[in-house]
Amino acid sequence: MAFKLVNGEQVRLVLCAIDTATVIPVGDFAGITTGLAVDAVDTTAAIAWCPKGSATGETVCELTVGTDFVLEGTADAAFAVTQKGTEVDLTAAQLIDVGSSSTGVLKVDISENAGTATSVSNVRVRVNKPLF
Amino acid sequence: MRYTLVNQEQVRTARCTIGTATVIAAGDLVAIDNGLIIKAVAASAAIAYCEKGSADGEVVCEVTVGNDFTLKGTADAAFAVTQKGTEVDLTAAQLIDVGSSSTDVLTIDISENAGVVGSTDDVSVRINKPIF
Repeated sequence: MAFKLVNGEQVRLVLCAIDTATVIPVGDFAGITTGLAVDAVDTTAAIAWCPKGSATGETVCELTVGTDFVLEGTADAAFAVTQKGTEVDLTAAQLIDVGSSSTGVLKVDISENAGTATSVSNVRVRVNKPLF
Repeated sequence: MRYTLVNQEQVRTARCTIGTATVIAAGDLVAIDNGLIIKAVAASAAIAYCEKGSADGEVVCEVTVGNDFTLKGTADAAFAVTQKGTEVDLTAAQLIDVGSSSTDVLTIDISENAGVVGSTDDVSVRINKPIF
């Protein structure tokens, strides 16, 4: 499930090696396995955002460095203000797993624009466990 | 206990919801509880800096995002060079608890300007456990 940058954010990117058979959809989170970027899964311990994704045949892809940016994505359950500031996980479908804090790869925004109560859409997060 | 930004530091802030009855002194450290900003206490597990504070009746306040800045505050005991780089706590009075490493919400500056040996004043710290 694609994530997008919150208005005006700028990110620092690094070119990373990726297997030619690996596909990362635009806006997905990526992990790294044996030195190669992979689409992140629910057990991924550290992540980066892949704004442009990576198609079959590509040998490098761009991944974010650090955590100094805010992303908007879709949660697996309705947003509640009590979730602000909590460390949460990513689901296998790359939804924000607001009810789970196992890997803690994401942190829910603390601002007044963190999300809309009872809605799963446009929940703001920050990477909490960056790849680099 | 008021903290101040070290010379020329710039911070990124987020506007966050706060209970109207909650008062934050300018320069205090804050935490988040049930989605609302509160004054940080000794047991707070993650913190942010509230440069302008928040008066009675306010519904939003600005708090820092991340930890890419250095603050100066007062320690509960005399500074020693051996404290440089150590993870330390906050006391209930928001002093830098240089002798305690439980919540580890602060890290003491590693620079030559980290503090004055034998003095409790102007000890430089960085937030080690930011709320976002």
